[in-house]
Amino acid sequence: MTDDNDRIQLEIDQKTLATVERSLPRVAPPDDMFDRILAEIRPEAKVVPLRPRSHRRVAVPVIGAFAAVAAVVLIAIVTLGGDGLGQPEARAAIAGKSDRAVTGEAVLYGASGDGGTVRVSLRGVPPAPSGHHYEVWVLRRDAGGEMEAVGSFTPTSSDVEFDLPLPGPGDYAAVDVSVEENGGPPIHSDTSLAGGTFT
Amino acid sequence: MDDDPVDDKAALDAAAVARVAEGDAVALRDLYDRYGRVVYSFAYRLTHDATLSEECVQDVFVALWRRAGDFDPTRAKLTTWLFVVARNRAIELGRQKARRPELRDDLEPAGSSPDPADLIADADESQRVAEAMAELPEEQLAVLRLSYFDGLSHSEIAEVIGIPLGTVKGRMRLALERLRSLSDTYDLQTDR
Repeated sequence: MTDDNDRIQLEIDQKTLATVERSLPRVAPPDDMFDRILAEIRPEAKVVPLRPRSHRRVAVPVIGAFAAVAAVVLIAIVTLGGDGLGQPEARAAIAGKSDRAVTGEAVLYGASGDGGTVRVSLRGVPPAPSGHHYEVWVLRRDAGGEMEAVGSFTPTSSDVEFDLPLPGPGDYAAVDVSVEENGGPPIHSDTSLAGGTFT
Repeated sequence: MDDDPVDDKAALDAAAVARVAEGDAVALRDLYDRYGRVVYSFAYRLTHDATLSEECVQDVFVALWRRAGDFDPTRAKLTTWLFVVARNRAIELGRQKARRPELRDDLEPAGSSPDPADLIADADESQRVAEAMAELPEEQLAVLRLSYFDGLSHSEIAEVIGIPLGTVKGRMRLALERLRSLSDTYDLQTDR
């Protein structure tokens, strides 16, 4: 009896799949399909996701235009495959704050001179809450305790890595990733997703 | 506990569209991940052409981005909206292709341009099936997508999604049952 039921069920499933096959070919859009869509909407986008890539160094706009963070550097360089930043000057192990699952590392390059860079690698990043984005901040020991925003991002993957230009030479003490409301005031929200101290 | 997963999905879609209307490209990405594959397949069924299908998918999601603020979830499901837009665009592209002179017949197999009249007929059933698939609860749609479009075995799906094999089989069973019941609702000819 069970065998009969299984056979009947299999026939029903095969008929259902046959109907699907007749109407929906097993074809796939190219891998860069969404990138093309993004390219068309990017000029209008308030937020453009930073997507990890596994190939050569590519310049990607992290965020289009939030008036409140207009002074923030808006371009990040995704560098999973590239390098050329020289020797690391300091590292910070990043640990989750509002979300304990977040881990990662920030590495400073050329921080003692102009044109320095911080490379931020994060794992386990949750999607930004609706109407919010994440913002990366750094703290210089000689900047009077003020954290400085260096870039914003909205992840499309739980693992992200990107480079951000530093605001200038200095003795960097800490890095922080905050949760910011879109269009909110240009100050730290006091809600930290994760952070770490440079050693 | 009488929540309908399809209603839940419609609510999730509506929330995502609201985020898209606010300019959230990540929400658009979520919707593309959910429906892009099915929309592409639907477009391919109508146009028989990969390039036109890509153009169709691009147009559909760009239209969603630009018109998200006009979307009213109380009037239509997102899946209905997506496939109506895709259908209209695919038919238009198919007609353009049919009118286009073939300068190099040797580049394409004979009959690769569908007859415009056939496009309409094909579109009806394909749209119903595409909508039926797209309206599956997300967890079932994800399993069916990986099995049907990517050809993964149940074991491979279990590994990819990170769920037990028995759960994969259960979701596939539920997906097919629901697809069959939706097919009944849509009066599909499953015994043809």
